[in-house]
This record gives sequence, structure tokens and C-alpha cells, in this order.
Amino acid sequence: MIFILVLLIAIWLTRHMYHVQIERHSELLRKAKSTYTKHKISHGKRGVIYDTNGNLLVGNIPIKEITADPSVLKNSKNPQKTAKELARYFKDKLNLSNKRALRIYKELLQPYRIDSKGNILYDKDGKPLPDRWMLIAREVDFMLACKMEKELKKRGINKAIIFTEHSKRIYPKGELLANVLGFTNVEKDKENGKSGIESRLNKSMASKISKGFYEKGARGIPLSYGFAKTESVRNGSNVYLTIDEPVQAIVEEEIDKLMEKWDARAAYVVMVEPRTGNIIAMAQRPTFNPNDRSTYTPDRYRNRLIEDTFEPGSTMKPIVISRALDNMIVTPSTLIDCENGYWQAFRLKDSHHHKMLSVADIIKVSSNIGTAKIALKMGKVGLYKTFWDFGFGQRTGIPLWNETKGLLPHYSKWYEIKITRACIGQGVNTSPMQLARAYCALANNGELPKLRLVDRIENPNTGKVRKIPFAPKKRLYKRKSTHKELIEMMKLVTQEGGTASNVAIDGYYIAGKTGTSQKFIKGSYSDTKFFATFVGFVPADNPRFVLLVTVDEPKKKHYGGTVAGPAFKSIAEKTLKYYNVEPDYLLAE
Amino acid sequence: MNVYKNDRGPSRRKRHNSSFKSKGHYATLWILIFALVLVAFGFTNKAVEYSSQTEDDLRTITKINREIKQLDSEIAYLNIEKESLMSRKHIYNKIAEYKLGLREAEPQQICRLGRSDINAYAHLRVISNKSVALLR
Repeated sequence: MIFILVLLIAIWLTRHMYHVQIERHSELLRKAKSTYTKHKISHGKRGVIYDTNGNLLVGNIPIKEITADPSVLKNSKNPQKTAKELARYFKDKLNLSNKRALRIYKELLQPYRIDSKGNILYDKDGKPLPDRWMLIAREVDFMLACKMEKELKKRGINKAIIFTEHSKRIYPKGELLANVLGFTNVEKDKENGKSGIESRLNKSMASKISKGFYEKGARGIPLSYGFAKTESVRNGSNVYLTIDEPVQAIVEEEIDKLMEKWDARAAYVVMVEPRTGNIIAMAQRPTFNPNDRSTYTPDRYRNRLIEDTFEPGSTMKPIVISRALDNMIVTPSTLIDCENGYWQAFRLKDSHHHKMLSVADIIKVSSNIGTAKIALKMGKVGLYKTFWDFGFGQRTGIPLWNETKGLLPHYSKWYEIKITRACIGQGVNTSPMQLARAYCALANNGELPKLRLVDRIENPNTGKVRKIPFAPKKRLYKRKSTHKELIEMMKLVTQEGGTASNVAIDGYYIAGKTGTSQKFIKGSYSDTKFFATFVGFVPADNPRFVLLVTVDEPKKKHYGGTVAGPAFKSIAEKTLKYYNVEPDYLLAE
Repeated sequence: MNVYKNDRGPSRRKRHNSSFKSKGHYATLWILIFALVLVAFGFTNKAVEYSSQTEDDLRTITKINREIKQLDSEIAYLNIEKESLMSRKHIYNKIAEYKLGLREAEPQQICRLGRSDINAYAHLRVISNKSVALLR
């Protein structure tokens, strides 16, 4: 009898073991695994942006989010007292309003989830759903949050409070280079570039999410003998720009003064190293502060230096004359009749009355008639080809979205009068960046460089650095003497009797050109609205940089030499000092 | 004639000997088993101790990792703070706020020394070196 009983029990046990171990194996294993397996998602850091010398321009700052678990507080000794203490503590530390503190107090004492009407929500079994998450504050300063965490622990009221670390995009230099750097938006827990370099190099700079899991112990710590699969966190690549931050700061400071002085609609400054094509600084006004979202308006954040165009005016003259000199159509001493200030045949005026002027003097006094006569000698094909060779009508190719090509109508649409206007920068539209690049060719012995904004990209995971290569330069001059002849002429602009004698810098020769262009509004040229420009390079014979300053609609005065010239001088003086460039006069003496 | 041959002697001896031998054999076996159990116990004990030590180390590693992460975050925070404080705009604002007399030298105030000038001022360098030596 006992034997039969034991046998039956044994059979039942075997059957049960079979059921548990074989039939429900996968189901129970899954259940068990879910209790001791911890899934972990790690976010890498988005790549940061530096200037050429490694000064941080865009970074990531740690912040903390403070949340509470009211269901934990419910089980404490005196929930009401603790909630009151916590609400008061957060009010003091985070400068919260009384209303917000009261709401925190109430929510801390509400351990169950409620709907919009305030009714408690229940699960399938009719049990009230516990409220495990309640937001107290988002984006709390990291150091302050760490301090709060310690204080709450010391007071013993930290159990229901959770401090979670996040990372936030930060622009430590504020408005500096804002239009180039751009900004990001957070979408699905991930930061995505929306404008500027942040958007253009988003793919390289974006971090990758790594997923993993491991077998955890009672305290959530991975077990040494347990299973684990973890992917290493992959941070985004760091970008080094060609920008030099201290020079950029000089430019930003001067452009602010410029805007204030002339109460202008907008202003642009670009500085380029002519030999390499490296952009050293680029600034515009109006601009925005990437740390302050209220300043994010398309009018402020779009990059006007590459997206907007303007008629370059007289700044086109050295470009036209350089080709005429190179093709030996004229020499610096060739005399041209400037019609005493008014050329009836083409209804063209000069600002001063001149009869016979040498080509050098045409540049010096910025004669429209003299330049037009040279351009007519070149012909429309020659003039069009000159503009095209100097990069007008084509994108510069810097890594930013929405770059304009400018406006360079094909010569087949040109009449003779068009030649006399295009050569003085009318009917041709260029972006400030295109004009600066064209002047790089003038400064660089007729070699047109490809502009560079990104110098190198570093992969922080492998330590590999990818240098952005220098593109081969395009040679524009056929004759060796063209460069020297042109530079000598351009030096006259800032000397006694030139259109920008106020721009002269003690100790240095400047090769530059003023430009004053009327704005083309509703089918005609405005008599009140102008673009005032000064563009040039210093030192003229061995240029360290090409600098362009343009002011859009300055009030009171409008001449390029008067409005943009002083800003050019100020920026150039400070930059020469910063780069410790040896003066020309001492070398000459 | 009693021809009984006492042949029990050797067999008894033999039996006696075998019983003696088997007792000794069991004792050895027991000692061996005991020794094996002891060794097994020792091993298990060591393994448990080792495992416990590993878990302790793991806990310490996790703690240190957490501390490293915290320090990394603090470094990142301070680095951003440093960069903000180093910005030209911030420095200029501070100069204006505290009305400091600091300003950049005007270009005409800068006197560049040529090689010959440096030689002319060489005695100053000697004096300054002497003063440094005296201070030390």
C-alpha cells in the first residue's frame, strides 16, 4: 500500500517536473530572466566644435533632471511631513513659486496615477496604479543638483527623489560665430543639427546609442559569472574649424560698434587667409544667441554671408583691371579719357571731374568711366570670362547649406551698356563670401584658392584625425608682373588722394578698394539706400589676410571708405598685432 | 589413533589476519574519504570566498566607475565654465563692470625691438636675472 502511494507520488512529481522543466521551460525561463536581466541603453556624446587652435566653440554640459517616485514616499514614516519638507527645500533651492511648491507637495502625496479629471486609474485587477514618476525640475545646473543630492541624503529624505543626468548642447561663447555654428533641436531624445555646421555635419557629429544587457544581483550590480552583452558607447566626431577664436572675437566686437555707429540694417565681415583659403573669421549682424531660444528667428539665424547677395559696386574694378593688365590691353600708365566726369554715350558718371587718368589713377580715384572704357576694350566675352574665372556665379563650396551662386547673367544677354555697368559692379550680384574669395586671388598672385571652413575631423573613439585636404588652386594670371602692377595700384587707394586714405595703417601698406553700391529696389536704383564696402588685404606685398567689411543701408553717410573703411582699419590693426605681423616700413628702411 | 590434524591454526591466523587487514582497510578508506571531504570543503570554501571577493571587487569597480563618471561630468562642467569665463565678451564686461583701467595698447604705442636694440638692452636682462637670483 505504502509502496503504491510512494509510486503515485513519484509519478506525480515526475509529471510535474516534466511540465515545469520541459513543457513550460521557455515561458518560465523568460519570466525568470526578465527579473534578473537589466537592459541598459547608453547615449554617447555629440561631437563638439573647436576653433583651429582647439578653443571650444560648442560643447556639451551635464545637467540633471529631478523627478520623484510618490509611491516610495507613501511607505515612509511620515509622508506628509516629508513632502512638506521636500516642497520647501525645492522652493528655496530652485527658486520656485509658491504655487509650484504647493503643487509639488500635493503631487508627492498622491501615490496613485490620476486622469485629467483627478480620478484614480486602476489596473485590470482593480488595483490602483501606483504613480512612479513625477517631474520636479528639468535642466537643473549640474553642480547645484549634486549639492542637493548630498543634502537630501544627509537629511534622510532622498529615497523618493531621483536625480538623472543628461547632457545639453551649450555655446560657451554666446553669439560668437553663431550663424556659422547653428543650433540643434532635441528630437526623440536625440540632438539633431538644424542650422549651420551643426546641421551640415550632423551625421559625423551625431552620437550612436548603444544597447546592452547583463545579469544583475540584488543591488542591480552586474554578476561576475552572469551573462552580459554590452556595446561600447560611440561618441560623435569632433570638428575643428579654420576659425581663429581671438580674431573672431575682434571682428564681432568691431561689427557691433559698426552697427551702432551707422544704425545699419545689416553688416558682414569676412576674413580669409589668401594662401590657404582658410576662413579666419566671419561675422554678421543681426545675429542670435544659440543659448537663448527666444532669439531664434530665421532673419537672425540665417547665414547672410553665403545666402544673401549684393551688387559689389566699385570693388569689381581691380578684378576687371587685373585681367586687362594680364592680357596687356592696358598698362598701369596707359592714359584714358575720363570725359570730365560724365560720359554722354553711356550715361555714366564719376563722383569727381577727371579728364585724362592713368589706369593706376582710375583705381585710386575709382573712376567708373575709366573702368568702363577698359571693359569695353576687353569685350563682353572677356569680361564675362573674367568674372567667371574669379568665381562669380559659382558657389564657394564651404560646408554650409543654402549657399547662393550669386547672379552672373550670361554674356549672350549683354548689350554694350551692360558691359559698362557690370565692370563697375552693377547688374552682377555676389555674396560677401564670393567677393572675399575673388580678392584672395588678387592677394595670392592670381591663384584662386578653394575656401576652407572645416580644418579637420577627429574621431574620439579611435583617436583618428581626418584632415580636410587643400584643393589645388586655380591660376588666373598669365604674366608674372600682373600681380605686382595691380598691388602697386591698389596701394594708392589708402594713400593720400585715394578714396580711402582714412583706412591707412601706420607701418603697413594696404591693398584695398572701396565700393558704394545703390540698392536695386522695385526696378530702379535707390538714391537713399546703399551698400558700403571696403575690401582689401594687409600687408599688401605679403598678405596675411583678406578682409571684407560691408554695411547694408548705413544711415547718415554711405561711402564705402567712410562707413566700412574705419572698421576695416580697426579690425586689421588689431589682427596684425595679434598675429605679430612685421610692419612694411621697418622692412623697407 | 587420534589423527586429528590441527590445521585450523593457519586458517584462523589467516582469518584473523584478513579481519585485521579489512579493519585497517576501512580505517584508511574513512581517513581518505574524510580527507577528500575536507579537501572538497576547503575548495568549496575557497571558491565561495573567491566568489564573494570577486563580487566585492565588482561592487568596488562599479562604485569607482560611478565616481569616475561623476568626475568626468564635473570636468566637462568646469571646462564649459572655463570657456565661458575666457570669452572676450565676458572679460570686456568684467572690465566695464569693475571699471578696470585695462585696455589693449594702441598700435602706435608698440615699439618693436630689432636685433640690435635687443643687444643694446642686454644689460637690463643681466640686472633682471640678478634680481631674480637675489629673490631666490
